[in-house]
Amino acid sequence: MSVSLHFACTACGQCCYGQLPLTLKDALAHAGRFPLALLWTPLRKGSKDFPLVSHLGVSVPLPKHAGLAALVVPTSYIPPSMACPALGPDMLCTIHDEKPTRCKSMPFYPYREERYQAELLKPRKGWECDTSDTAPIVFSEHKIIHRADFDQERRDIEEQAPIMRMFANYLLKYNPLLMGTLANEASKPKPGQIVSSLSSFLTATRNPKARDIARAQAPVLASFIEQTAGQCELQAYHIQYLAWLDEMEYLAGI
Amino acid sequence: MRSRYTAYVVGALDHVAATHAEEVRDDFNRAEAERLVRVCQFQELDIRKVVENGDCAQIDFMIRFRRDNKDMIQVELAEFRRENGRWLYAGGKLSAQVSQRTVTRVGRNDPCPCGSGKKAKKCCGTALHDA
Repeated sequence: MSVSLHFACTACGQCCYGQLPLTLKDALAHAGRFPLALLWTPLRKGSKDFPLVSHLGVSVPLPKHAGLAALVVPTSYIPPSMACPALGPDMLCTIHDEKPTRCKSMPFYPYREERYQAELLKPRKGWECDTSDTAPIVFSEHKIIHRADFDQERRDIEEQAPIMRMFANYLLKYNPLLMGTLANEASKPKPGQIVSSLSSFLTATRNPKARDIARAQAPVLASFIEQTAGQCELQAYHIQYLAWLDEMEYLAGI
Repeated sequence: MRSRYTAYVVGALDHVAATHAEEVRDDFNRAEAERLVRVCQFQELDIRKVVENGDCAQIDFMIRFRRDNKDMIQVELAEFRRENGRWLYAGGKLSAQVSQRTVTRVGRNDPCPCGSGKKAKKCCGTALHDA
């Protein structure tokens, strides 16, 4: 038996913290706003998302590791404790009209089968989503009702799949340890993600706008370096931003 | 080979870029290389085996360097090709057996790498950093 699920966003702003997966289009369009990285998530064949991401062509199989694939996603790489740079002091989005597709289709997630989307409607701890009967029905008969944003994001993901694979194959070629690291993570109950740089993405994909993207990205990294300075628990992020700023300044010709 | 290593040591990456064969030229992440030559202290190049065959050569080499106060090793089987009298780097296979670079995953009970003295699980996060 299928149930209808209700959901309304109350604009509490609680989901606007930490890292944010982006479509490639959104990531590059917002290079002047988010500190960008490419995040690798290892997936086992038995996992819930494996068949879909394989079908969409957004994952790369890992040779020598049968039944393992990696999903590579452009990401706004922000520590979990830090707010999105576009979140205003009133906890409202300051870029509502041009916000990333990811934010529009929340809490649905297009890297997961549609029939499994129901579980994403359950508010996470501290979130103030309205899931009462008075909220509109958003999911019924295993289907998303208002689906324009979800479909758009999935189309974008499918469209970018060849370029994400190009990047993945480049990095697997030039960083032979990556494969083992992914396999090792995949064997853990809670696999970690592996972070790689925008500079390697721009190189691998021969991005003709690398210089402009780097020029937009450099001040963002400088700002995050400042915001994470002197904070012990954000040290790993701080060091990472410093290294990326170096690379972006070189690419930007600064 | 030796000139390319020397160029890395002194940070003369124009020479490195100019000695790439066409098929690998666009794969060179110059921005990353510029950063790495500043944070790595190169210590040794050991050419372990050279097989030369006309205008083609295979070089099995190892470099030792220090980075973030850690001793590191890179082992590679590199392909070189002679074009117009100049040897060009045409690609290589890095050994996956030898630690090319460290992956910073700190055990949850290890002291945090930030130097706070706290256990990692009570201090910095556990995200993996690479590349």
